[in-house]
Amino acid sequence: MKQNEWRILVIEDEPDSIEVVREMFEYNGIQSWAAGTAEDALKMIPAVQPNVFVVDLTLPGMDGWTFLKTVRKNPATANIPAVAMTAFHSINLARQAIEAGFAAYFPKPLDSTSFVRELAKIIL
Amino acid sequence: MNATDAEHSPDVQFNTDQLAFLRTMGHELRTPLNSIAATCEMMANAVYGELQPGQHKAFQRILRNSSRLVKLINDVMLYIRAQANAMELDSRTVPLKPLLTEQVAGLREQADAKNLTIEVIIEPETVENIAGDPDQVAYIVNEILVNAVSFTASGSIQVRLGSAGPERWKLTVTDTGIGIAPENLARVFVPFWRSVESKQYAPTGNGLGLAIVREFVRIMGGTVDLQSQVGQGTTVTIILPTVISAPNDSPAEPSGPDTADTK
Repeated sequence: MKQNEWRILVIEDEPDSIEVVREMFEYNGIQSWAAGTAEDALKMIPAVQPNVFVVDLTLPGMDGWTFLKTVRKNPATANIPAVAMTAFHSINLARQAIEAGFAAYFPKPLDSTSFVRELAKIIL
Repeated sequence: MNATDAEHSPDVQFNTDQLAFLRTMGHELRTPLNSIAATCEMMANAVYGELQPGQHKAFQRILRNSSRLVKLINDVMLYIRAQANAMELDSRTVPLKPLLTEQVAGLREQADAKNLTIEVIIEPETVENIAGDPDQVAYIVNEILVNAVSFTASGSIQVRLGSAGPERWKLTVTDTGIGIAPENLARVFVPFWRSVESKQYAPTGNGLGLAIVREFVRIMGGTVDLQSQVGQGTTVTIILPTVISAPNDSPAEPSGPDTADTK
């Protein structure tokens, strides 16, 4: 899929973090939407029709892990790839994220070049 | 001198409430810093438009220093949690040679810049795998290697992986660096302590690395030994059990208690 066909739903509670990630996408000609909570993200899915989720693991209310389980249970969203991002880098956490079903794990601060390049491997 | 006998610094003992407070503080500090670092990275990469040479240099400086702050916060949190035995440890199979190879590869560029050779010797009796927490083992190996490269202006670094008797593995790192004065051998493990030379050779260091190594080694039931001669070099020997069981032997729970510190 071409980059300009990507539809990324970012789930992140920090307004500045959302802005940073979305600017990264905008610069690369990628469309993105943002939800401040997992609950809001679930409501936005039918209208946005995302083809990838970028999920902060720690969120108020439903966390990123539970969000992933929830979208996996719904046939309409079960196959949409999700990538995790966290500010605390650890091999253990990266492994846990992959085992939980995230397609990739990105430690913050995100490096815009490698982030978009890695996403291209996931969004087919 | 055996630095494991070193007197512990007057460490503060944190109670559960204080640990929770510090953990939240670490998270709250990291969140804005990450936005600063990511924005600077984009600035430096001309995402918001082309930069004058001076501006590029300025943004690189902000980026470099925000990375340093992120590392400092992470290290403070690691030290406090290790020292309070409040780490959530994993116990899994860790292939030793690939871990070492990866760590050495990460330092090649820095070593090449100084014309330092890094020689890696794997003794035949070295175990393939150990059982332990990969993050902790990687931290120890990285810290010892980074120090060797940072404090060696010319010459070589020898990294030797071997055995230290039944169910113990050994990492020995020998450099031809500036060395450590006898009176400072124990002090290098004191949190935030840094020698005058250390500030010259590694100005961005935070003085927590070896303090964290000491705590990790203690948690794993191993030893760390320093032999050094000023002007000649330093040899660090780490001996660890090949099987390190996690003290809180609970299965890794993705949404477990560690998540508050993992954002």
